[in-house]
Amino acid sequence: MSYLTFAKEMLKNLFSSPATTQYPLQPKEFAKGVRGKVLNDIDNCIFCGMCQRNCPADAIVVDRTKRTWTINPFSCVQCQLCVDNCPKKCLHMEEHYTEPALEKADVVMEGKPLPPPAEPKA
Amino acid sequence: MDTIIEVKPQEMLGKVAELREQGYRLVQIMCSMANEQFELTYNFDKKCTLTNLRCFVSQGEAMRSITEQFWYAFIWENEIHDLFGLKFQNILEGLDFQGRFFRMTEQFPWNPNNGVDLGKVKGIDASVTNAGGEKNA
Amino acid sequence: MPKNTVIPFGPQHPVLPEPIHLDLELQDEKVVRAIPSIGYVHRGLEKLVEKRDFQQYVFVAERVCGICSFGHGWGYSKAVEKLMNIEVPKRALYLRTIWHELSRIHSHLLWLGLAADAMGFESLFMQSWHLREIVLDLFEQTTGGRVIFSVCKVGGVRRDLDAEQVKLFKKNLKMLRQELDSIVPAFLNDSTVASRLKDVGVLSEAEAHAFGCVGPVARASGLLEDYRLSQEDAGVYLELGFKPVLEKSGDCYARVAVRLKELFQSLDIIERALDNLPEGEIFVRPMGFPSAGECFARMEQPRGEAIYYVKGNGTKNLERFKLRTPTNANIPALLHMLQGCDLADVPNLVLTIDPCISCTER
Repeated sequence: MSYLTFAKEMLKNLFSSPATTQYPLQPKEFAKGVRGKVLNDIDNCIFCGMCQRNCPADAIVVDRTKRTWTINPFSCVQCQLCVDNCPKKCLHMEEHYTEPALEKADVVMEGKPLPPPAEPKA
Repeated sequence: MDTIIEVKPQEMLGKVAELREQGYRLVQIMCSMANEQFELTYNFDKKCTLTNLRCFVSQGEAMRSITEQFWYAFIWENEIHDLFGLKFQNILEGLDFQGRFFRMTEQFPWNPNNGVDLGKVKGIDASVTNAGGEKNA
Repeated sequence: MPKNTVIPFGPQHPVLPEPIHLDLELQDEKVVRAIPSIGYVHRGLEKLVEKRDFQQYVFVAERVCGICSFGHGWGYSKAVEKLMNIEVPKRALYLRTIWHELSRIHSHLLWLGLAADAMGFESLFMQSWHLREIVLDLFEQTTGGRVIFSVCKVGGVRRDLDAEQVKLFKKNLKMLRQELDSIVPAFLNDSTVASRLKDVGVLSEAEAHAFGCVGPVARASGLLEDYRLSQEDAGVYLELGFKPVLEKSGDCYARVAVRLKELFQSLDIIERALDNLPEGEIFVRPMGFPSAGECFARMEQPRGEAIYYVKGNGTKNLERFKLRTPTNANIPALLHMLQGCDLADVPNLVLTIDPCISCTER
């Protein structure tokens, strides 16, 4: 048993640079493959609803008739099930987290309206 | 698949005593609802092997506590009481929390007959279920 | 006769990371009796199994606890795999072992920090959490999440380690091993720390057995309780040369020592697993839905043994999921230890079982 077993570390910490990053000045570097915010490439989306059915947190709502895709980024748990199950591979995850916000607002994305159905040939 | 031995609720305490003699430790008591009945599963462990006992208790009946064999069973007995509303009888003195182990706003949230009147449950001394009583000091 | 005083301890207390309430009955400075009550973080996650399909529920099971999250995901998957008769590929088992043991390091470092905080050694607390940051970064780089990894799935794992990541793993583990040497003497050889921990809350082996203790609490009392030694888990762990850590004295000091030694043991296991990582698939697709039936699965979590129960009914949703967590099993021992201790030792003793209330209440 001895005294001052931590003194060396303490002195070292006193004179070394901080272990934390100076966050707003020095942005955080995200590693490759970090699961962050879910984004939809809406032009390729076919509004099949697979993402909605697979979401364990009920964060995604797909409206087929109105052609809208809605996500609540604050309900999303970043599990990547929607991305894995997307048949068109139009969903992907950005490598940084959802930004903080003042309210838990939904993000609504609207698809282009469908072209009018082709006239059947007489 | 694990084998589960079914016993009658009255015989449970005897079986538990037998297992304790053989050097088993209580692992947990588990409750789920099966056809409006409480399905109680008792798990015992000895050298990394589980022995499971099961009994069914109907709504409105009370189950006999096993705290005289394993005093720390009070954790699960109180939990089951607070979540499902199944009353355990003969809990060792000072270990019956009378519905105040889990501090929740809703009573018996996992019981389909939520809010069953405990005063009408047979086999229970009405004075013990007095919710306004002093904490078991 | 002196009158007993009742002091409420928690749910908000500087030493408690999570809310548990204890009514401490005191006679002068000595605790006569402690009455626990919980329920502040009850989220009803077990009930949610009826609403989510069995693949989705892995992510719910992981969220039972933020520290042993990988273990809970694995334990749940293990139970469902047993129910569906899925044989998990060996590479997936090794990857799971690596991440699980890394969670153990993460959990123990977090706990050591909190223990240092409880005895008033703030700089040691900071240093332990600083080391934990290395582990968290490693998680982020290999799984994509810092605390909740979402890499375990019924049938295997979702991410593989490539050669570069294995190299990164080894480099960081080596660094961690060196840095750990700075905190070990401060915990084990310091007279001030020893005066706070030695002979406080002694739990004998017989008592640990009688109260159903699990995990480091049991092992600190000399009771060999480690599910990694069982037949089921032995496959992976014995291949990796696993030997349980045992201490004899059963006081707070022994519980700190057990966790410190387990850090090094987990480092050894991970390094060996990385060296012997078998080639092959990492995932088998489960066919159909969980069959009607019920089964138990057991896991050695950082805090002790957890038991998972699943009941299937042939549909995509399970009927019941139940989790017995290590804290559940260690609360009786805590109540016993609190009887007769000084009020000043209560924070130390409460922390010493590494309570995880979110796990306990689910």
